Amino acid sequence: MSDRQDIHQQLSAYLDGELSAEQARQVEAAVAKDALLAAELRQLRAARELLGRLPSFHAGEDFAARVLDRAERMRLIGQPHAGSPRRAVSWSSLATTAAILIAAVAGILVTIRLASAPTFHGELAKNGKASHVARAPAEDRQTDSVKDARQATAVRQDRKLKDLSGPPTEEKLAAPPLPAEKDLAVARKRNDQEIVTGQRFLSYESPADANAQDWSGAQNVILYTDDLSAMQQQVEKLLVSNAAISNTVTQTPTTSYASPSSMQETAPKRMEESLPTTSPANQVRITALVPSRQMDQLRNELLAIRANRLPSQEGQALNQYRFSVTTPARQMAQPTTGPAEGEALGRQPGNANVAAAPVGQAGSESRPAPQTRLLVREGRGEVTALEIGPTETSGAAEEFKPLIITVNLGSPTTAAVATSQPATEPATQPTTQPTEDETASEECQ
Amino acid sequence: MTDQASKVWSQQPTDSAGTGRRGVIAFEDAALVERCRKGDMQAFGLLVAKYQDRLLNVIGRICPRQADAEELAQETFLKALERLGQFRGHSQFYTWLFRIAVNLAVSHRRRAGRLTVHSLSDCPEAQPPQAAALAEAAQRRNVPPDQAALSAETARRVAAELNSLDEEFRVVLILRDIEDMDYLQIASVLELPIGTVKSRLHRARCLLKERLIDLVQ
Repeated sequence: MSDRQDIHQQLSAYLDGELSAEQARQVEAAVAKDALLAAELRQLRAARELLGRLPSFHAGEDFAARVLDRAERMRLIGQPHAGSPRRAVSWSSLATTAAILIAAVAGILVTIRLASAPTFHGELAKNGKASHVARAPAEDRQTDSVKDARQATAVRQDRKLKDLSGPPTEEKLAAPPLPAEKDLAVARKRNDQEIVTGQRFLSYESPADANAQDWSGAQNVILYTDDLSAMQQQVEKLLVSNAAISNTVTQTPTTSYASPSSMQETAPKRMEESLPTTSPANQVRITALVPSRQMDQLRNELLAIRANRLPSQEGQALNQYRFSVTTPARQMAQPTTGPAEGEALGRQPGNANVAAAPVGQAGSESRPAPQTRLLVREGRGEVTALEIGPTETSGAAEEFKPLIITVNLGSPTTAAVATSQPATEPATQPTTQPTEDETASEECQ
Repeated sequence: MTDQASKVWSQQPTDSAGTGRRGVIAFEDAALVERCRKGDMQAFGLLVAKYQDRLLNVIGRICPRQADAEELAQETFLKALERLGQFRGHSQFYTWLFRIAVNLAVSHRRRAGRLTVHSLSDCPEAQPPQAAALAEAAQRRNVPPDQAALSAETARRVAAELNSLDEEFRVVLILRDIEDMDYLQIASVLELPIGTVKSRLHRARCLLKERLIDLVQ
């Protein structure tokens, strides 16, 4: 170790006390004779000390409590080390509920997809794949929705993002392939990879009915869509589904889950016993492809939504967020073909503590007012991050960017009250709500 | 639970030199881990309370956004709980836990690096609390405000340069100079030969020194 370069290589280890006594003596001797080495050692020591003096991150006072809350929930829903029968029931109950909820979301997405692409809808109808959705009896809608969701997913996967700006062509839609097992396997693999990296997520592409247990442990739900209105409805549905679990436990333990018959008798009671009264601190991330020209507008609106924290009449903070993304009238003109909200999500009238209300939609198939609002009670649905991805260069005139909206669902307040926003705006409505003129102008886009 | 955990933790002997402290922690960890395996969530709470700040500090240096760091720290504990059955005790629980944390944080950073993040302007958790922490520390130590400001600026600079290093260098520096792990522990966390840790740490420190040359001279 007499070579100067070798000594230099040992300087850090010397500083850290990781050399043997003999090696340390050699370094000290070399440094004593070599001013450059001595300066190097001094600088390395200074750099080390600078790092050591960086301010520390500190966990919040409730950090441990939050971890334990999530851990308890994780345990209740049956992680591998938790194998009690009660936990197993909770696991399956939640898994089934989650699968149903996601299927409902998928059904809505398919509905929107079909409504927004008449050619696509017609093509499916010709093949007898879609027309039955609107006529399906309630008990069949769930299954059909899932099937159609999978089919639409396969079609959508074929429509590359680059092609989104252009109308669907006959060639693309002529033979919508059913999702092959290999595609589903890819989706599962992607999920597995994400689980390995700790960011569990549910992907729209994942098979909701293939292995329901895959869904139950998710902390993040990531849905991909190239349709803003679909994205909006997914947010609403996910928030509502979050409330549905809580409602089931705290208010309507005997409510129907629209779940398999085996669950009907046992699940409500079991869930009442085992579920905490708070919903999981889930995080929902929605990725939407947004035309670049609309990006600033949408981002500003979401920022404004986040800033809208209105005082309630009781003087308590009420976070009232509203997604004021308007949807083109032609997309909203189609009747809803997905499962009815209350039916699919196990909600009873009047017990929702999250209200997501398309304005003017009640009982109307034409839905003349396209504006949709998202109303969120305190503790739910806080938009915490917006991420804008790189531009998707499609070669077409329109440019798209992925917009990722992160919504923290948080823990609900136990005092959450059912709210349904009337069509008439109250005095406390956010000032960012588009005027009728603005809405009309966006409808024309 | 938190109060109780803190109480127990405060009874632990501490040794800023590191080795003695780690020895005590390792012994306690074994007992707590065993209780966790039997479903004792109180023991799990004790482990959380014991390591939450150190874990968050390491993760926070890899992923500087406070909200991300806290989320990842929570994920780390939950994943550890989930995989406790796979922990065979061949390494310390401490290094096993930090291995999970580093892997999660690095993966998160790689993924986040593909996106441009637009922070919400009124979102305080979007920024690391360096300035606030420094101001607090300065107040505790009665440091004059002008010196505290200088320290905050220096800290921002050092943190930025650390953040700009390649991942392999940044992580090894964080584990050594911030978390104060020894080479063997770093090798265990990163699953690298100890010789690699040694050479990589030296290169990392040299790189940082060059970038902070005006501060280290």
